[in-house]
Amino acid sequence: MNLVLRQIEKPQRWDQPFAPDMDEPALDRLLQIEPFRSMRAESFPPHLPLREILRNDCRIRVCHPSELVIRQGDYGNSAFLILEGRLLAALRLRNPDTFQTPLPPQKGWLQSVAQLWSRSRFPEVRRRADSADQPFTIQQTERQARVFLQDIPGTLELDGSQALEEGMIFGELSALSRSPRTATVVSQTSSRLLEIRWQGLRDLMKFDPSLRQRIDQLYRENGLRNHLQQTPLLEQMSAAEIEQIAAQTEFQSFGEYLWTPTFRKAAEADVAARIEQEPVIVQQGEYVNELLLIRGGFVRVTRQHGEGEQTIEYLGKGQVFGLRELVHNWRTGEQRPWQLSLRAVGYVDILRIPTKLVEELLLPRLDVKQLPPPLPPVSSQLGGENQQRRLAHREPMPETKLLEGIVEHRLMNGTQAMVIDLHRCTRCDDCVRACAATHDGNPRFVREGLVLDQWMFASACMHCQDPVCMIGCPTGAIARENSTGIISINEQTCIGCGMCANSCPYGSIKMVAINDPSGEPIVEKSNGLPILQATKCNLCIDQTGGPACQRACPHDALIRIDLTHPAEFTQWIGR
Amino acid sequence: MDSRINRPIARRLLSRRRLKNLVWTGLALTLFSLAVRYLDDNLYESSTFSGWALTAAIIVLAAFHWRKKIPVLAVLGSAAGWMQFHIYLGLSTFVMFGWHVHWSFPTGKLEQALSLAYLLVGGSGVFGLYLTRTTPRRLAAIQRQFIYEQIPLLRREVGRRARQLVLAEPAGNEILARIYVNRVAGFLEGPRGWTFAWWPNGSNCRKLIGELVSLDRYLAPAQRETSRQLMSLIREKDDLDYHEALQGRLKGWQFLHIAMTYSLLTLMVVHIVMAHAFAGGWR
Amino acid sequence: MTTIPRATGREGEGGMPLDPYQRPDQDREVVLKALHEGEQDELVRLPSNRRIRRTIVLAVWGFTFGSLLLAFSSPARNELLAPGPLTNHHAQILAGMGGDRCAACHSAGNSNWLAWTRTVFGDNTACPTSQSELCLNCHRQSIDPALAANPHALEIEQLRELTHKHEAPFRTAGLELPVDRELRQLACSTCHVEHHGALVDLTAMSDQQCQTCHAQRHRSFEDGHPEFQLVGAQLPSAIRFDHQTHLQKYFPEGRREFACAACHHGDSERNVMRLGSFEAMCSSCHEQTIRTTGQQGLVLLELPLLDLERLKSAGHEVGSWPAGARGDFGGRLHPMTWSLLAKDPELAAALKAFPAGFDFSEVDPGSTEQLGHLAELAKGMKRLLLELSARDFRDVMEAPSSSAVERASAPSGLQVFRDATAQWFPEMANQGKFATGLPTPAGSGQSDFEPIWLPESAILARWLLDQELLAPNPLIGKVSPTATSGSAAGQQAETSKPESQAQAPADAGSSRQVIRQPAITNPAAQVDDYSGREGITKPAPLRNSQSSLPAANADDTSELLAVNPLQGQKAGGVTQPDLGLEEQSSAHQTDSITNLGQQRNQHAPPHKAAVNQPSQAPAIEPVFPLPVTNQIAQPAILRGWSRDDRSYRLVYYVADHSDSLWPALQHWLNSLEDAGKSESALVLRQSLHLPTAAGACFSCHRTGDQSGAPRTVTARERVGWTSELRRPELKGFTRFSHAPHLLQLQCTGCHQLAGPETGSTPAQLASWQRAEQANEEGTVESSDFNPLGRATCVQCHQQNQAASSCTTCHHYHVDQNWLRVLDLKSGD
Repeated sequence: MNLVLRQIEKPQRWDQPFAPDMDEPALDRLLQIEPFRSMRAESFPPHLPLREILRNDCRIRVCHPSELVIRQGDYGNSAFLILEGRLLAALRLRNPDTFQTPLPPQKGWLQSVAQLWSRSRFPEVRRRADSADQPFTIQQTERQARVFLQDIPGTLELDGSQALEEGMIFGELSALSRSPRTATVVSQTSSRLLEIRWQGLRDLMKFDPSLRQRIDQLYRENGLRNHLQQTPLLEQMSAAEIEQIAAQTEFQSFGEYLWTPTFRKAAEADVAARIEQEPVIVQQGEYVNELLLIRGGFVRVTRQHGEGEQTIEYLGKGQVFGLRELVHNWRTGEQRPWQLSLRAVGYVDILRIPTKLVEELLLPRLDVKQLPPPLPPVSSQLGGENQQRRLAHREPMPETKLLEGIVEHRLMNGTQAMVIDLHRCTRCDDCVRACAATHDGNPRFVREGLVLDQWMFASACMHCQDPVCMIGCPTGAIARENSTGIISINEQTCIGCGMCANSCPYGSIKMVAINDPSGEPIVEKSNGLPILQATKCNLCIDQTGGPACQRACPHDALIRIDLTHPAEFTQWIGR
Repeated sequence: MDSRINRPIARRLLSRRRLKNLVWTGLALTLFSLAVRYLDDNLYESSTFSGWALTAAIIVLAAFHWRKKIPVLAVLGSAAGWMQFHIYLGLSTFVMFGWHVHWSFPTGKLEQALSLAYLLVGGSGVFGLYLTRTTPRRLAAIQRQFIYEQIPLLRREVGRRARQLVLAEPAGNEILARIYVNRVAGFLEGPRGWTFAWWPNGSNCRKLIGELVSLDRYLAPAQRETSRQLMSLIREKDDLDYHEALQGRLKGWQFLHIAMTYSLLTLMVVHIVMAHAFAGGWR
Repeated sequence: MTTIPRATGREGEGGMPLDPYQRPDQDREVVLKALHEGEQDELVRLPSNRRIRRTIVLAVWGFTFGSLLLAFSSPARNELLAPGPLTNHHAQILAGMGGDRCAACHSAGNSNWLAWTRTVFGDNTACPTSQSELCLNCHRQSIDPALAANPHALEIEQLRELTHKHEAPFRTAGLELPVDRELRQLACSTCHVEHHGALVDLTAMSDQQCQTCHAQRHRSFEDGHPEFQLVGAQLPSAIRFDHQTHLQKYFPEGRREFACAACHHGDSERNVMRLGSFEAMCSSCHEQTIRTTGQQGLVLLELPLLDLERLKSAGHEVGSWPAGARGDFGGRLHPMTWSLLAKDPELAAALKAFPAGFDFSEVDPGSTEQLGHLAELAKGMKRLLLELSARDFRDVMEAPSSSAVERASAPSGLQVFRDATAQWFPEMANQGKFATGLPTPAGSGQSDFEPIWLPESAILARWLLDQELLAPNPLIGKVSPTATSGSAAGQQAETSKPESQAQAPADAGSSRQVIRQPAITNPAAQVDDYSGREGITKPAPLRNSQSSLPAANADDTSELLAVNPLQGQKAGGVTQPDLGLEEQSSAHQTDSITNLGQQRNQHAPPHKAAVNQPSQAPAIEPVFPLPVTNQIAQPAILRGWSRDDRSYRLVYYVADHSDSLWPALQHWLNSLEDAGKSESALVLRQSLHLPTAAGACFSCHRTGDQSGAPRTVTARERVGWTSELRRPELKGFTRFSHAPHLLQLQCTGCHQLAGPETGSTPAQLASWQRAEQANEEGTVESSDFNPLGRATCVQCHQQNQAASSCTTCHHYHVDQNWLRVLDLKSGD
């Protein structure tokens, strides 16, 4: 059977614009308004002209009064510039549960069965339009359904809410940090918004320093304020007090934004040296002069142990560090230093609230139940599991060896990590088969990966809380699903550049050569090289009943589990 | 992460689950036995009852195989649940079978064949249960984990790397080359044989390594380094063989189990038809 | 998937595989890049083990299916598909049938696969006839097809009745009939499961199965089984035999060992213990008692002493009357006479006046009325005598119920009666003139009374005699007791009837035989009786026999001894007849001349007289010429009919156990009762039942309803002449076989004599006393053994010992006839 190769043009970033309707006049009008007016076109490289960025990475969105623009908790991949109209940004929902975005459509059981027979006989088949000129069919990357809020005060906590005026930018926070929306934005009047998908925003910031400044500032201010407001510890604080705290709180970032390379480098380093790569946030034994809130990323809590540092626990987004020492000193009047060190694992945002402020505003308000126990006497602070447990103030952690492994390989990043109990796994590969059955005959993970004692962390996408993979994607093909945050790759818009695959620290994204329905490889017209596409686990988002791999395991060996909070994991391994 | 996609697992102790299942199975079997005794004592045809019950049970057991082919349907429940049901129902069929043949091996040729088929399937099932409960730990004891299908590939890879090592040796001292040709190559590229397949052990490997070590005194430091690498390759090959043997066994028992199942079903149909057509009684 | 995916094995930039995922169900090809120059890229093919598995599965399944097809098409198909070998019986029956022998029991054997498959879904067109019906095709003899489906193959009505009958605690109570719940059709195969091997017991049945319906559940035989008694052991046997006294008294006295087996013999096919013959068991002692009583004789007729003058004066005429029988009124009206006369309508009044056993010496000479009755009676007696001499007593007795054989077995006395007539009433005999009112006998009996026959018969007798002297006797070689030879003669008579001509020799023969008996058969008989089948030449038994005779005979023994040896050698030899003849004559000649006077009023037993004057010179009667008999007279053991001319009696003497008159009498009495003449029967019966009655038969032979119900003398009797079981051996619900038990046990292990001597429990003792009392009252007859019940059986029949399952003693299928015995409404 001779190979009849289907030849197409190499897919390009802008083969599929954000919206088809950005015509010339609209672009002209855009270029007349800030911030674009003050941008200097020559500062953009020739292959990324300003106009093209606007054309392909932006779209105009017209909103009616009381229309919902973004919803807190959703995952958004774009920022908004208000062209006209007034909007309202509320930081708290009255009852978030009733206010959820519906899940993406899932297959009915008829479809589920049907897909078993409609499965194509060849691997990695992509059904595309045949014409070489127009290889990608146009389609929306995000589903847009207009939602209107009838009773705004009933739904939103207006206290501490913020009015958004013309020319303001919002939504940049989650767009840049790939985190859920922190605020809910409703259009009060009818308004016109310029929605910039974050790849475009990224490039604009890159080549226009003023915009970068502005965004950075916004990022910090909003990030700071929003986080303070959403920290449970500060619930009783009034908006004014929050403002007061925000004014004095320091916003710090540690580690690289795209931390994969350093991580890879560290992996080659000596065991003891690896931890050195991680910037220190708090040094054990130093003077306690602030309370730390983790706004994003992960930190590890360590203590001096022999020659090295022993990891006791890791903290994630929204958690607090140092309260114990603060309270102890505040109550006893002692001046005990930091009992433990804090290191940034990957990219971390930290808020430092000065001790004085905490003692004045916060501690008096807390009732005793909320206060952590006093520190153990100094004499008993040497080594030993119990000591660590007592010093740690969160739920039980896996025992040290496993914990060290998890943190060192930054597995706690995963919200849906695939863990296999090798003492139960019979290597029957039913998980792989199930995966293939739900993905048109193509498995989306390899039953291999890091093994820590009896636990294998298979190289299936963990759907990280801090998805580094998304950073480099030129087209936004790899994006978080709106409602669930599941990271999936849009086959229609993926151009196979391999950025995500390279930047995934866990090697969970694989580049595959694609074939057409008749099993013939699709290759590049010019040089005949195979067209690649990034593939990874999408957690069976479109299947009923959740991830098929987990349901297919006959021996309870495989589980998709959230490692960001170790409680569930410790519970599972202790079954 | 949204709990609507994959709800966090509830705390359930496997030991407690086993206890629960055992109790339920026990109850069901007691009921079944009582029913058969009642029918016997009241001069009814108990074998009809037990026969059909057995048929139903075996079909349900076989259905597990087909369930595995349809992983997408949520309504079918998790494979783990099926597995548990499969195990306990399968074990109970031994009792049901016993009642059906009234605890004596049948005298008819057809029935004997049928019973044999059943016992083979059941027996292989029990053996498989033992394997699936014990082998994984032994596999996990090996540092590296291999995918069964890839083992031949990896073994070949090891062989090639070893060859490359030896070929890269500077001419002059043929000791390494000789022992490679005489002993190592055979070990690295050759099969391990039946005894190893049934009783995997590292004796050959240790022997070979011992021989290599004993050669150190004749080797230059550089060559010793090479021989160390050879040793690690030998260990790797040994691990590969070990994994292949154990995993092969883990898959092998299923061959008998599933293959006999189809024969069993066929014989069952014949038996059922004959039993009905040639039944006694008044009717 | 057979096609190898093309993408596999190819690599993109940086050696990155273009299909990095593991596809467990697909063959893969991977290119191993050359590691250094001089080495080729290597293409490694990795087969998926799913493919391997698929082939194996197909192979195994193919093998199974193929061998199935072979099995179905092979000639040995039946053996291969049958669920097991048949039991030997069925296998042998079907052996010849070849290929389609399944169809003998399974009608499906005639149809094809499709039809069979349909049966799974309840469509039974494949098997038109059910298996049970096919079973009954052969087994309908033993089981009524109509009822086969019912429990115990009985009608529901019968089951009900049985249940209620047996709900007494005596038998398995608490039966709850399935019919009371639901009527279940029980197929044969429910209990009889075939195809389980050649040696399987098809009739094996578990206790649970029995207790399905027998709702009074009990754990085992020893634990909870209802109490019962073995009736068989309790019912009185036909022979009244007091084990107790024999064990304690008689046997020790006779220095004999009292062994059960001496009398009770196993009977394999009827599972009961049978009694041996009288000769084997009893005769050694009882022959003598029989004889002693027997020699008193049974008086058929005694002519009363009549004072003819007084009668005449009173105006009563009796006609001729023997001279020896004249004088003061005297003599006795014997019960037998009485009941024989009772047939005579003219004598009704007289018999009322004179009850049986009346002593005529008590007749009041003054009362004319009594004299009248007496005269009537006298005439009646003459008529009776005539009738007897005309028709023999068995016809006179008119026992219609008695069969030909019974009549034949009864000894004939015709000759004796005729002689009596001739002797006592010669004129009647000579002129053949008879008193008025003689009821003419039925048939041609009348012609016998022609005077001509008398001499003729005499001649005939003599002629016969000569014949026997010259020619060999037809009876030569007959060693058996003479009664049988007599009956043989009787049968001749029987067969030679009705021609009058032929009868004469027959009668002569029989008479001769009767007369002959005493002298010669006595030793022979005794040899027989005493020492079984030993050589009859032995002198010892003879002496025994003599010694066992009454002491009064002592002085005669010498002659006896003188004769015996010769007779011994010639037992049944040629010389017997004449000897017999002489003695006979001597016997009654001597009697006739003994002094009458002394004999008169004292009623001494006749044989005494015979003994007292053994060697009187014979007085030859002038009237009736007979061969001269003036040889040595023998004190005879009298047997059969004889005439006493001193006391004018007709007497029947019983010589030994083998006597055959009684059965005939019994039938006569019964027939009398049937005819409503119970009075006359009663009279005789009472006399017969007296312990002093001749032969004292009824001291041993039990009479009455053998089921043990109250017995009155008047009740219609059945006499247990033979030691018969009282119930026919039919297949009932319960079975018992002595044989296996006797392998281990002594009889006495189970059968314990009741009574204070033996260690009986108080309860047993009480029941024994009750039985004893009943025996004395004659109301109930029961055995003298302790009742046999569960307790006895349980000693051995319990777990881990002898079998104790239901089917050890109980049948499931029962015999319809057995139900009739239970007086149930039978099936048909």
